[in-house]
This record gives sequence, C-alpha cells and structure tokens, in this order.
Amino acid sequence: MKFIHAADIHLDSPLTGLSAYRDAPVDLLRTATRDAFSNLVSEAIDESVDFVVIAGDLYDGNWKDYNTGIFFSREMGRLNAVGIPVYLIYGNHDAESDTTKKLSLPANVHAFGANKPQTFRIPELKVALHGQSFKHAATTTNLASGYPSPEPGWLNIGVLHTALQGYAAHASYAPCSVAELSAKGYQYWALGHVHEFAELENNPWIVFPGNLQGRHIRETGPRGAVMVTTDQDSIVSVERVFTDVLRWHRLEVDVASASDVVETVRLVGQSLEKLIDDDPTTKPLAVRVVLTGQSAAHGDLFGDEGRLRAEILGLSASLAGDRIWVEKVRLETSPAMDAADIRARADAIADLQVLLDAAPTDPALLSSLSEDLRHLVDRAPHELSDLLPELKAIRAGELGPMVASIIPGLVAHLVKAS
Amino acid sequence: MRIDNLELARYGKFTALPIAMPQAKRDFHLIVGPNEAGKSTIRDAILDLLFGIETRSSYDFLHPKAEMCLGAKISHAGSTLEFQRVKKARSLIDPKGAPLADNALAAFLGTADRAFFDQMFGLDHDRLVTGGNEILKASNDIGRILFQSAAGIGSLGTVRDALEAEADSLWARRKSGDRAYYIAAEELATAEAALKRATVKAKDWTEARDKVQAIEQSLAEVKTKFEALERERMRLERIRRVAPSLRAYTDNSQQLATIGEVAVLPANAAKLLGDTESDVAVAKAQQDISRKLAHEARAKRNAIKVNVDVIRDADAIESLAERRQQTTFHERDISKRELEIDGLWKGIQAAIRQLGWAPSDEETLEAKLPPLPIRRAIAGLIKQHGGLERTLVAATEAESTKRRDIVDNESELERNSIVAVSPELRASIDAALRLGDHPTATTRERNKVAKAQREFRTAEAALGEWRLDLADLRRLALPPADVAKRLRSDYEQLQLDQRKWDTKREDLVGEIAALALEIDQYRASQLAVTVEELATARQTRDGLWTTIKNGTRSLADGADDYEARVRGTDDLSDKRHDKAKEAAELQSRIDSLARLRLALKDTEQRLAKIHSQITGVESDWQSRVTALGIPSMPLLAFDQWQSALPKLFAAADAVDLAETDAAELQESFATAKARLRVALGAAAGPLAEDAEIDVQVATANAFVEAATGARARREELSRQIANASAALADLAQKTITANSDLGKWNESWALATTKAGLPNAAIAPADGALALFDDIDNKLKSIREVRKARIEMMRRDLEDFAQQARALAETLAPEMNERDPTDISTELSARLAKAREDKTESDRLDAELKGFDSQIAEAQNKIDIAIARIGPVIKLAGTDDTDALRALIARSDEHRALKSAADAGKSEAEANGDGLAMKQLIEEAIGIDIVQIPARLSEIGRDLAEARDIQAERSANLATASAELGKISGGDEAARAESARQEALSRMADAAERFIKVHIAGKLLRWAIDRFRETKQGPMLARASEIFSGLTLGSFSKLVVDFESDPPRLDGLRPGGRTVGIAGMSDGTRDQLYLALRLAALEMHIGQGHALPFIADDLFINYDDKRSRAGLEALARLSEVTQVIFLSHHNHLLPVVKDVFGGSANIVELDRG
Repeated sequence: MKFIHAADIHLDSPLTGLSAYRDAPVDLLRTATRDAFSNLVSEAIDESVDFVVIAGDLYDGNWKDYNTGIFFSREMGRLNAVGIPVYLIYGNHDAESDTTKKLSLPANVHAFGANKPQTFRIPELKVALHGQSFKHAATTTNLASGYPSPEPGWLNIGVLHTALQGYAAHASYAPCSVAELSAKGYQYWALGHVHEFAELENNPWIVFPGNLQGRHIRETGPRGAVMVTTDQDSIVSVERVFTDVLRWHRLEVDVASASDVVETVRLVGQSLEKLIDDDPTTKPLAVRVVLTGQSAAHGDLFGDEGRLRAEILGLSASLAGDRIWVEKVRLETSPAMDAADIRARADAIADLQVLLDAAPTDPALLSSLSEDLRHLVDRAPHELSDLLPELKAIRAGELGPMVASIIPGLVAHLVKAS
Repeated sequence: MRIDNLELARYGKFTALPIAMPQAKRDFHLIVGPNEAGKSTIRDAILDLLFGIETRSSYDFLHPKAEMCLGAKISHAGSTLEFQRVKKARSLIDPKGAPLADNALAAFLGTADRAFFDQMFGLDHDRLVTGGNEILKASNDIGRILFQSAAGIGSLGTVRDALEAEADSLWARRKSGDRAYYIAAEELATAEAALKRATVKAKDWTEARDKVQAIEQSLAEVKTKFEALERERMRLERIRRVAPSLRAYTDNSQQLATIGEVAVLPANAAKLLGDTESDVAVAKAQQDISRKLAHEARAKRNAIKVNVDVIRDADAIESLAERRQQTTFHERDISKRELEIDGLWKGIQAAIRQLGWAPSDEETLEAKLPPLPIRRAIAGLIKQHGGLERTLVAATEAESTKRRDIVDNESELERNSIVAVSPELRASIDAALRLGDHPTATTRERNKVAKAQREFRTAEAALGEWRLDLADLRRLALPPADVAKRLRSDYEQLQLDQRKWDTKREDLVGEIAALALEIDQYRASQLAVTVEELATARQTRDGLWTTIKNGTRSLADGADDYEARVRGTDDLSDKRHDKAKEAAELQSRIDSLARLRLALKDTEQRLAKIHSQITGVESDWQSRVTALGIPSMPLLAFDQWQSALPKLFAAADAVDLAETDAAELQESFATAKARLRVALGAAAGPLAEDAEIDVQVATANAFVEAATGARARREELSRQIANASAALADLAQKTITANSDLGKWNESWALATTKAGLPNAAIAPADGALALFDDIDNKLKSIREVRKARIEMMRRDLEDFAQQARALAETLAPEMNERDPTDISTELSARLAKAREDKTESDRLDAELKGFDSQIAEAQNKIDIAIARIGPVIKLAGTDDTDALRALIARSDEHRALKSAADAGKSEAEANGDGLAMKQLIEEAIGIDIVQIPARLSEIGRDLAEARDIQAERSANLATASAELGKISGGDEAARAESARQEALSRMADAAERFIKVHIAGKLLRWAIDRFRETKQGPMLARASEIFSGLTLGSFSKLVVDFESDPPRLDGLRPGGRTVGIAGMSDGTRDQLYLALRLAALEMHIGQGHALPFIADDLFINYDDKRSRAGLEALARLSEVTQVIFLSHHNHLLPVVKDVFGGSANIVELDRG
C-alpha cells in the first residue's frame, strides 16, 4: 500500500521578487502553484496510490478569489474519478478562508473537523487517520495532545498542522514536541506548516514534506510531497516526489579574479553553464546571481549595475533560453583595496576616503539624505517595504549603516573611473 | 624611493642600455633624444620595472617576451636593492639570477600600484591639456578643480554626473512616465485593476448558483405542460391515422365468418400436385435405358480369363529377370582374369631366375621365401651401416686435430718471451700526457700572449699621442682628481660661454647685416632723408659758396654747380619735410643698428675676455702637462687619458703573466721530454736525438702496448693448451666407442644374411635380393586375390541364377524345366505381361456395371420422393383422388385471401398505433368523431407554440445564468493578475533600491568634495599660487578665491590687482594652472606619503625658453624632495636645463638609432 503526503499547497499564491523583463518566461510562473498541484494529483493517479493526505494550508489566508477553491475541487474530482480518497486538515491559512467555508468538495474528500480530533478509518486497508483542523488562524494550543490512542493492529497516521517547537521562524501554531508525537504510538505523523522538507524521526516517522512549489528566493531547491510505502502496519519507505514547475536557486559567483564588468559577466556565464550542466532535470530555474569576492571589478560593478544586469540577462537567454529567469543580480563584492589601503595612498583619493569615513555619522548629511528619501518612502506601497528592507531603515531614520555600505563601492568606482 | 641606475637589458629596441641616475641635491635627470629615440620606451620600462612587465607588452618585437629583462638599483631610506625584472612567474631576480620574493619591492614602493604610480607620478603633455580642459569644465566648482588636480584624474565630474543622472532616471518627486519607478507603478495599478476584475468572492458564486437553480425549476414546469399538450396531439393524430386500417380489419373478418369451416390446405397445394405427376413420368423412362446397357457389359466381362498363378509369382519372375541382366557378362570376365594370373606368374618366374633359384610351383616358392622379419632386419642393418661409419671417421679426425692444436700452441708459447714495463716509464708517459699536445698547448699560450699584447696595444692606443715609457707612466705623479676636475669644469664652462657668446656674436653680425640692408632698402624705397644727409648737403652747398666768395673758385665756374647744390639741398629739405614719418622710422632703424653694433662690440669684448681666460687655463694646463712629460695634451682629453692608464697597466700585467705562463709551459715540456727519453732508453733502447716529445710518447705507448699484448697472448695460449688437453681424452673415448659399434653391426649382419639364405653377402647384393623377395611376395598375393575375389565369385552368381530359374519353371512351366535358364526367364516374363493386361480390362467392365445399377436405383428414388411430397396434402384433404383433390384446393385458397386482408388491416393499425395494442386502439377510437379531430389539433398546436416560447425564454435565461456561474469555474485570471502585480512590485523595488544607492552615492560625493575643498584649498592654493606665478612669468601674481560669488570661484590675480576667471584664461595659462595645482598637490603628497620618482614626458612642448625655464624651475623645487625624470625631444632645453640646474643635472642623450 502507498499514499502521498503533501502540505502547504498555497494555491494561487504568487511567486514574489521576480521582475519581468523582455523575453522572461512570464507565463511559466503565473500559475506555478496550480501547476505544481496538478502535478501532485497526476502523480497520485499515475502511481495508483491508495489515498492522499494533505496536512493543511491549501490556500493563502488573505486570498479572496473563489476560483482557487473550484480549481481545487476540480482536481479532487480527478482523484474521485479513479477512486482515490483524500484526507485533509485545514491549517492557519485555510482556517478563516471564505473558500474553505463555502466550497463543497467531491465525495472522496474527507476534511477533519475543527472542534475535536477526528478519526477516519479505511477498513479494507486497516488504516486509521487521526486529525484536527484549525478552527482559527491563531490556533496556538497543543492539538496533538488530544489525538486519540492508536488503533491496535492498524496503521495509525496522525495528520497535524503544526509549527512544532524550536522552529523560531514560524509562529507557534499548534505547538507540540517531536518526543510527544513519538510517544503517541502512531506509525506516521503527516505534518504541515513548515515549508522545508524535514524527516524529523523515522521510528515512528515524523515528516514535513515541505511546500509543493518554492515561491521566492528564500524557498530554494526542489519542492514537492512524499510518497509513503507501507507493509501492513509499518512504514517501509518515505521518498520525496518533486512537483514544482520552477525551481529557485541562489548562484554565488566569486568574481575576485575579475577586473571589470566584461570579465565578471564571463565568470557568471561559466557558473550559469555549470549550473545548467549539473542540474539533472530540465525544470526552469529562477536564479539569484550573487556576486562575491574581493574584486578589482567592484568599482565598475557598483557604477554600472544596470549594464551588468542587462549583460547577465542576455547571457542567460543565450545559454539557457527560457530555462533560466534571472531573479536578481546582487552585489556582495568588496573592493580590492580596503579603506586602510586607500588611506595609505596619501593622495586626494585617500583624503576623500578619510572624509567619507566620517559621513555615516555626520548628522547634517544624514538629515539631508533622510529628507530626500522620505518622499520616496512615504509614497511607496506598503508591500514594497517587505521587498526592500532599506525603506524601513529610511522610515526609522537609520541611514548610517546604509551610507557606510555604499562608501567602499563609491570610492572603488571613483578609483576605477580614473 | 629613487632609481640609482636603470638598465634596459633586453627591452624594446634596446639591448644592454645603461642609464645612470646619480643622486644630487636636485635629483633631476634629463633624458633627451630625437623622436623615435626611445623616450616613451624608457617611461614604460620604469613602470614595467617597478610593477611587472605587462602581459600584452608591445616591447617584445626584438627580444621575445621570455627574454625581456630590465635591471635597476633602487634605494629608499638608506636601503638599496639591485634586481632584475623578467617576464616570468617569479619575475624579480637578484643580479645572480636567484628569484626574489614577489613583494621584494614593497618596502620601496609603499602601497602604490601601477595605476596609482602612473596617475600620481606621471605627467605628459596630453594629460596637461586634458587637465586644463577639465579645469575649464569645472570652473564654477573649486572643490572639483582641487580634487581632480590633486588626484590626477579628470573623471570626478563624470562619475558624479552619471550617478545623479541615473538617480534621476529612476525616481524623483515629480511623477514621470520616463522614470523606471513610475513605469513600474503604472504596471502595478494596471495589475491591481485586473485583479479586482478577476477576483470572485464565495458570495458571488453562491448567488450565481442559486439563480441557476431557480431558473432550472421554472423551466422544468413549462416543460411538463408542453409534454401534456404534445401527448394529446399525438393521440388525436394516431386515431386519425389508424382509422382506415381498423376498417379493413373488421370488414374482412365478417366475410370469413360467412364462408364457414374449410379444410385448410397449403397455399402451394395446386402446384405440388402438378409437379408430382411430371417427376414420376421422367424417372421411369430413365430406369429402362440403364437396364439395357448393364446387360451388354456383363456379357463382355464373362468372356475374359486371367492367369492368376503368374500374377501371384510376379515378384519372383521379375527378380529372376533382374538376375539374368546381372550375370549376362560373367563368362567373358572369368576368361580375362585367368589371363591376368598367367601374366603375374611369368613375372615371378623371371625373378626366380635372377635369384638363381630352380623353377618351382607356387607352394614351394612360398615356402622358400625368407620370412618378412628377417627381410626387415637386413634392411634396418643396411640403413644403420652408413651412420656408424661416419661417426667413426668424425671421431678419429677430431682427435687428431686437437692433438695438432696442442702441439702448435706449445710451440708458439715457447717462442713468445716475457717483456717488462718499468713504473718509471709509465710515470714518464703520464707526466708528458698531462702537459697535453705540445704544439696545441704552445699555440694556446702564444695566442694568450698575443691577445694580451693586442689588448696592451689597444690600451696604449687609448693614450693617444701622449705615450711614455711604461715605467715612467707608472711613476707619473698626476694632478689630484679634484684639481683636474675643477680645471676641466672651469674650462668646459668657459668653452660653453665662448660658444654661447660666439653664437650671440654671429647672431648680432647677422642681425646687423640684415638691418643695414633693410635700412638701405627702406631708404631707397621711401626716399627718406636723415638729418645727417640734410646737414651734409647744406654743408657741401655752403662750402662751395665759401670757395666762390673767397675767390678760390670763380663765379662763372662755380655758379651752376652752386645752383645745383642749392636745388639739391632744397629738394632734400623738402623731402625731409614731406617724409618726416619715414625719416623718423629710418632714424629709428639706424639707431637700432647703432645699438646692435654696440652690442656686437660688447660681445666681442666678452669673447676676448673669455678667450683670454681660456688661454690662461690652457697655459696653466700646459705647464702642468709639460712637467708631466706629456706636453700639448689638451685639458679635455686628460680625463679620458687618465682613465685609460689603469687599463694600460692591467694590460701590461696581463702580457707579463701570459709570457711567464708560456715560458713555464716550455720548461715543463723539456723536463718531461728528458725524463721520458731516459725511461724509454732503458726499456726499449736509445731513441733518435732529435725525436720530439710527441714522437717519444707515441714510441713509449707503442712499447707499453706491445708488452701488454704479448703478456695477454701468453695467457691466452696457456689457457687454450689446458682446455685442449682436457678435451683430448673425451675425443679418444668417442673413437673407441665408434669402433665398438661397427663391430657389433658386423655380427648382426652375418647372422641375418645367413637366415635369409644369403650367407656372407655384401650389402649391395643383399639389398637387391631383398627387392626381388618383395616383388615375388607381392605378385603371389595378387594371384591369390584375383582367384578368390573375382573368378570364384562370378561362378557362384551363375550357379544361383540357374537354380532360381529351374525352381520357378517347376511351379509355373514344368514343360520348360530342362531348358536354358535364360530362356526360362525370358518366357516367364512374357507370360506375366499378358496376365496383367487381361486383369485390367476385367476390372474396367466391373466398374461400368456398377454405374448402371446405381442409375436405376437413383431413378427409383426420384419417383418415391415425388409421391412422398404430395402425401401431406392428400392426408389433409382426406382423398388421393386427383380431381377431388383439385376442388378442395380451390376452396382453401379463397379462405386464405380473406384472412390475409383482415390481418393486414390489424398489422397496419398496430404499426401506426404508437405501440398500442389492437384492443387499445379500437377502444381509443370509440366515441371519437373523426371529423372533429382537425379542429382540436389546431387548438392544441397554438397551446404548444406558446409553451415552446416560454421554454425557450427560460432556457436562454438558464444559459446566461449558467454562463455566469461557469465563469466561476476555477479559472486562473486572478492568479495571473496577482502574479503580474508582484512583478510590478519587484520592478518598483529594484528601481527604488538602485535609486537609494546612486542617490546616496552622488550626494556623498558632492558632500565629500565640499569638505575636501574646505580642508585643502588653503595650503594647496597657497603653494599652487606661487608656482603659477612663476610659470606665468609673473603675469599672474597669485590665485585667489572669490567668496563673494556663489559658488565660490577660483581666479587668477594680475599684478595690477585685476582678477581673471578661469574661463577668461588662455588655453596655455589653464595648462599652467593645472600644472601648478598638480605640482602643489604632489609636494603635499610627498610631504605626508611615500615619495616615488616623478616622470615628466615632454611637458613643455609649446613653451618658449622663458616659460620652459619657469617650468623647469618649478620642477627643480620638486627635485629637491623626490627624483624627477624629465623626458624630452627638445635639444634646445639643454642649455636651459644647465642654466637652471648648473652642473648638478644628469643629462642622458639618446640616439635615434
């Protein structure tokens, strides 16, 4: 017997941080989460699984479009047509979603109730699934503690949307500990909420399958669900099933050896080629190119970011066509000569460096900059602050570090331009 | 850091070019040469020397990159380093070629890299002009001017402008469709509108679904009504449709009832009756014909008698016939074989005769032949005999050869005596050989002497005509170096002055001649009259009048002349009046000429004085050199002469040394020769007196080689004798064994030949007898073979055939029993053929009879079938009378027609009755007036149309509502819109992020440059003012900042107090301003940083001597704090440099080649 365990589908949740450019594979990402979910359903049908478990967060909580629910229902209909039942719980995102409340689902879909733990039994397989949906988004009570005792002689699966304990990056939804879950006596805990794949235990099995599709640069690497194979009342194997249609990748390129934009682009090209060659799949990649290293090109890169990005985009298009979407080109290089080296020159540039060293703490300068930038910040949409932390710093009047971070590039640019 | 000396060992066109740069108080070095002399090469060489030869260096056209090499000695703060730079991984090496650490120059260069050094410490004409232009561009920004001049870069403005322009293209407070941020914001708004349009809330979906359900319900109602009307319409249509069929059914049913009971016969009964009668008649005629033919055939068959006995034994008869064929030629073959046996026997008789045996029969002969083993043994012994004989001969020969060898070797050993070589002879040879080949060594030493002498002569030639005896030269008390140097320096200076004043004098003479000519031409062209000319004319006129008045000249004689003088003077006076301006000009030029002549006089006086000084110095010098014994040596030649002395002394020493070496070598050869002669004489007898040492060595070597060879030969002979003696015993034993083997063979031979009946036979006769024995034996075997295998077998075959023939004749033809078996076989074969023919004909007639019987039976069968076919009709009719049967059949056919019509009416009614049964149709029609039906149908049609319209309307409504609901079918428009919205947000973020960066950078740069101006303008401008004033030859007294203007402005201040803005300065003045600022900044930098050599490349291209001097004076001050290397192709700068720097300037002149 085998079943699929998925979670955190976040249907129609957009991919963020990608700015379109000419020839960018826009269509690919517009429906990425849907396509990934369709892939999951197709996988279940192709593999003739016995059932599917979804451990919460079908939709984004603030997403209003009912079409998303209908799409979900339609996909469930595909499973219904081949007799595959689905057992799902609602998580923090689904709990207060209008779609969750209104949508009627096909007969093969069994949603766990939110008032108390519930058990679904599949007698012919001797499988008992225990679970409880979130009633409210902010469910911070321990739900697992109320789950019933295991059915003796049956395969017991606990379905739970939880932040567990110790996942500091997540709010403490339905907190519980691995030890507590282990002690419950179930053979498999199908967890949801944490977007990274994690196999926390294998006796019993406690698994976060991760989300189906990475949606931004913080969700890199392959994404999908897990295929669980069992032998009567024990788990034989848990294998990842990748459903994502576009993969996020952070490509660090050490450009220490480059002396200008052209050589930098050449190094990026080599890294991109290697990335393509090393990737066994043909899935499209959203790549953040991060340039690092103490480089003589730092000044050029600082002054000519626009040209750098354009050349890397052109390069990527020529190397990989639609296969690579360059999400961003981020400069994390440092100049070949540090401030001390510059000061040791004892020339006008050195004098300038000394003067600039005082800039991050010069109240008049910072005040003037703050005044200039406040107009930008005040009129920017709120969401822009999430994408651009600098806006928050400007709003908070914390310009010193920003100024300090710009000085090395500026000086290097000036030296290089000479 | 400074460069003490530089060597372009292999670089560009140079090979081993040394450039010394000795340090002086003013560390200034002028490298001067025409274009293409290699000044730029030297500038690049210094960069490559200090920072590594560039990968793509273009200076590898003569020396390949791998061989490029620069050398230098550099010093800094008391440390010096001598090194070479090559184009390799470890590019720094010490003078001995050992690699130095890559950072070996760090202590000398500080933190400077190539770009910094070139930018800060390098200046050429192009950069000067660019710097001047940049100053003009930045004329309203003192900070930028100061910074660009100080840093030696011109890009500050470009960088700052680019940053500010990029910031402006990204975001500004004013919204603009051209700014990246606002373009993205517009896309955001579009996407948000699309999202709003596409988003469907759960409530929208519920409403749409409820509406569809309500319409579906009302549509169902109207459909029900429509269906009821349709049913009524169909009922009435049906009644009207089936009415004729119902009538046909009832009418025919009534007529059937009238006919009453009838025996119902099959519909084809009449036809059956006719067919039966016809079939029976045809079959009976067929039977009669077949019976007649059968009778005739039976008669024929009974007439044939078949011989069955012969057929029974057919196999035996055929086997006999086959045997007859096989034995046909046996008798003839037997005769041939017997002739063959006779032939063989004759051959045997011949062999017996050769053996000398008496004739005998076969058996006797067989008994007499020796048995095969004896014959084989004799053959084997014959084969063995030759080998045994050869072995014996070989063993005997080997033994005797070995004995001869021993005797020969012992004889040679006795002849070969022992010769001894003494150790003294060997030592003498070694000693002679160590000296080498005498003529070669002698020539080598002579060459050394000759070379040293040549070098001495060369050194001596360097003394020029002032040569003395070497001993005198060594004793010579030369004037102290400083004295000579001072004298030389003074003398050179005087000569320089003399050349300068000579040039001046020549210039003046030229100018005077030119001006005099100019005056003459002016005077001629302008007819100007000078005061002196007028005065002279008047004086002449008045003088003539005086001679007339005092009677020296008569009036008549002088009147005309006087009148002419009066007119001439008046004319001159008039002219002078008319041409007053030209006269003034002419006068001015004449005055100038007078000044030039005065200057010429002064110059000549100076020249005379210098000449006198030179003569004084020369006289002083001559007295000194006369005292030294080298009279007439010029002062300027002395340095070179003096510096040639050490080389001369060294060359003289070298000659002495070479001659001593040559003499010592000859002495060594003589000693070795004498020693060898004595030793060789003792060993090999006296040699010729005049034998050279190499002949002696060859003779001695030959003697030693002969002695060594003789010893080796004796040793070899002794070894060979010992080996041969040992081998001789073995060889003797082999001879004995061979003799013994031959004896044994002879015994075996005698025994075998005796057994074969050939006692004491020699080998050849025995060998022949063996061949005859084999021949006889083979022929006897052949005779037996022919007899047994051929003749006897054929006779057995003939016998078997005869027996078989008689046995068959006994059974089948006893009358032939005594006849020839061949005849019996032939007759029996003929009888068998006849019996077989009879049997075939009998069988054919039997088959024919069987066919006729079958035809008769078949005709009978047809008759039976025809009668059986009409049987059931007869049975139904109850009579087999043919006429009665025909009447009954006609009545039955009428009944059937009525029944069929009634059934057809029923079937048609039911077929058109929409599935209703006959009974239901009849009941449905009861009470219905057919005439009224059309009116009723018309009414129903109207009701139906109305219902259809209502249904169509509701269906349309349902379609609309369903479409609305259908739109909410899981479409992804909202998701796509949201995705587009996120993309727009990302673009806004990208634009904002870059804006923040470049805006801050631009602002930082502006802020920092302001601060730079505030801190630097005081000291830098003060020093730059000073230099600028000097460079402009006082045309500007200083630089001032006009703080009144906004922004503050940099001006030049004229000595009269007037200010000139940068825009108002000429190009040249701006270049000078830039140079002043650069030099001021450089001095300040050197004051607080690491001093490196300043390289100025043809800075003063467009400067005249005065301004060049001013520029050099500015550099002179810089050269007091760091090394200045000035590259120029202007020879005219040489005197200016010498003037500014005196004797301290190091001048390096490069040739074009």
